[in-house]
Formats: sequence, C-alpha cells, structure tokens
Amino acid sequence: MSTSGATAIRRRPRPRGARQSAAVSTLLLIGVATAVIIRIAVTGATWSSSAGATLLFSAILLGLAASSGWRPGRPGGRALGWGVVGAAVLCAPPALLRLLGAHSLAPPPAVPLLGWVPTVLVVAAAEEILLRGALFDAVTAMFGDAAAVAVAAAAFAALHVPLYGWGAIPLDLAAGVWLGSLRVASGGVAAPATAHALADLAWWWLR
Amino acid sequence: MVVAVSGRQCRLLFLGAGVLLLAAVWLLLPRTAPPLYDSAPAPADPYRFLTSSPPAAVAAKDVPVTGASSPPFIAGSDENPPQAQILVGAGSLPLPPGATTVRVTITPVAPPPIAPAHQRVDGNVYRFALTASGTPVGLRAGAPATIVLRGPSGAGQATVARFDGTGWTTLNSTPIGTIADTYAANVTSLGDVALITSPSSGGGGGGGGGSGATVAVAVGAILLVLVTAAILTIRLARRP
Repeated sequence: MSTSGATAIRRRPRPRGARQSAAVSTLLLIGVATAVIIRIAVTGATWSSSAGATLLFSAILLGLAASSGWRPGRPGGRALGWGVVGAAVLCAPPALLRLLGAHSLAPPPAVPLLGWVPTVLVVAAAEEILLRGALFDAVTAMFGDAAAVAVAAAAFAALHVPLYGWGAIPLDLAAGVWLGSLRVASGGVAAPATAHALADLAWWWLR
Repeated sequence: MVVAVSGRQCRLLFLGAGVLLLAAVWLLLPRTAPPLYDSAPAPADPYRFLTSSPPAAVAAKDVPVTGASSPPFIAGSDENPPQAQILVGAGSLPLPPGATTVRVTITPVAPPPIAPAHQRVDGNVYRFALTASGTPVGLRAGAPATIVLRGPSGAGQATVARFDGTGWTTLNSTPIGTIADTYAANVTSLGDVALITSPSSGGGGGGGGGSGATVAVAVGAILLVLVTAAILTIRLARRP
C-alpha cells in the first residue's frame, strides 16, 4: 500500500494477475474453511480446549500462507508499537467493564498459564499471517485495501462461529476490521499479530 | 466514484472505522462472547465437586424487575465453563405484586438418598431456586426454563434429570456441541437437577472419534492438498 502522496481508497483492478489473485483468495478461503472443519473433526466437542487441534489448525494456516508465497518481513519497532496500541483498543472495553463492575467475571482458569501461552501465541500469529498476510495481499492486489479489510474480517468472524456461536459475529467482525486497519496503517502483519496475541493473552485476566 | 485521499488520511480512515465499529459493538450489542477475539483454546477448569477443594461454586444473581412481567435472564456458576446455568425467558415467572427483584440461586447439594434407576448421578446435584422480592416463585405453565449442566470429563452420554422428592425424572436433553460433557434441557419446574449416566458409560465423551470424523479429516486433508496444489500452480503460471 502507498504510504505517502495521493492514493485512492478504491483502486482500479490490475489487469495482469487480477484473475490469479481472485483465484488465490478464493482458494485461501476454502483452505481456511477446511482447516476449521478438520479442527472440529479431530477433537469433536472438546475442540475449544484441545491444544493439539489448535496447533494442527495453526500449521494448516501457516502452510496455506507459505504456499501462496507469503514471506515474513522484518517487523520494526513502529509496527510493534502499532500492535501494542491495537491491543489496548481491543482490551479497553472489557477492562473498563470489569473496572466498573458492569459484569462479573470469572477468576482465572485453574490450568497452568505457561502451558496455555505458547498455544495462544501460535494460533494468533497463524491466523494473522493467513488472514491479514496472505489473504490480505491477494485481495488487495485486485480490489484494494478496503476490500481486503472486509474479506479478512469476514473470514475472521466466520472461523470463530463454531467456537462462540453466531452471536459472536458482530464482535469478531469489528475486531477483524480493527486488525485489518492496523495492517493498513502499519503496512505489515506484525502490528495485527501483536495486537491479536496480546488481546488473546489478556483474556486470562479479562474474561 | 473514486475519492482521492492522502496515504495518511487513508490510514486514519481505516483506523477510525475500526475503532468506531468496535465501540458500537461493545456499546450497543449484548455481550455474547468472551472478551477475546480469537479461537485460542479456552482451557476448561477441572470439574469441581461439592466436596473438592475448591468446592463447586454457589451462584446467586439478583435481576431487577422494571415492568409488570418478569425479565429474561441467564445465571450460571463461576467455573469456566459454568457447571450449572439457567436461562429464563421474559414473563416466565408469576411475580407477586410490588416485586422489584428476582433472585436466582444455584446451589450444589448432596445427592438425595434415592439413586436414579439403573443409572448414577454424574457430578453434582444442583438446586435451582427463584424468589421475587423474597417470595419463592415457580415457572408459569407453558413457560419452561432451560437448564445447562456440565459434568465431569469423560463421563460419556449423559442426560439431565430432575429429582422431585420421590424419584428421578429424565428430561429430553441436548448435548451442547462446543462444550464437552455439557447438556441442556427444558424444565417446567425447578428443584434438584443433575446429570445422570448409565454405570457402564464412561470415557466416551469428548473426542471426535467415529467414522464420520475420520472421513471428514480425510476429505479435508485431500481438499487441502488440492487447494495447495492449485495455489502453487497459479503462482508458477504467474512467473514470466
């Protein structure tokens, strides 16, 4: 994306490679859906608490991203700063509600925190690399940043339906748009991945 | 129409849209999901029995009454996920005149001396009770409440049952798909409710298993190979 000078929110489709980008986008979305189905099938009703299935899911997403040609850039301090700000925005509403006592929250889970953290970091990074990395690049190449934010956010919300139900769609959609906007603002995956991972870790205290 | 904006303005537009959308969802919509936005595994607490340490939680919730009819509410115990929950619809309770609050309590109690026929109680027995401004109330006819119970892991197929003081009545129960060992049932009256299983049952809960899951994984794996191959083919075709 352009970082300076005049640009346009709606970009003209690029003639060369446009079809290929659309095809890659579609294939990546099929891949994400397949990864969700495999995750559920592997562990059935316990899928939400199965670290093994989560890591398998993450590996599939990373494999899909790699096959599409996505390669990690070098995250700078600015991107990580965007990520911290992004996490603060994601965590502010539940933190405020908790401080104000607007809803009661359960005590931390009775499982080891250290055993949970690596899985959370891996799945957050994998989702961002696939959605705000590979898929975002493919959609941007044809339709521009706005479409990429929308498509990645929709996919992000959809892949959480089996875990949280349809009622979580608005929240996950909004979070997806925010993570996509971090991608646009920072120009890379490091910012949304950092925000995503930190917000997920904060769940331990904010749930 | 194409709107020309600077790169900085473009970034601010996206960030502003993201913040506004998040704020709108948190302010306007009921909270239906935990405050995380990801499918990170939510580790379940070990099952807490009445006698374990810490013991199973007692839940009590006061719901304000604002109109003439009783409000809808959900209450549950503090475990993650809750071991006992109740969902009551609007107007389901016959309120005494002047009632300002409805109090729901969910208390784990010792199992009654009468065991269910050819079955065993799986986990705690929970006593569900409702009062309106201190007066005990029941459910209106034709307005059932839904009770959700989570049992100890690996208990196998279970059923929600209600103890009426003389015996156990099994209720039409539905497993909650995304939470292991958890079942929901509608009740027309409250009281002591528990999950029951057959004594031979056990170890069957949880895992996906089964030929259906195996087929799904196999088909999914094949589809993934095809998707990956297609993406690689497209990438190779792009090269000059």
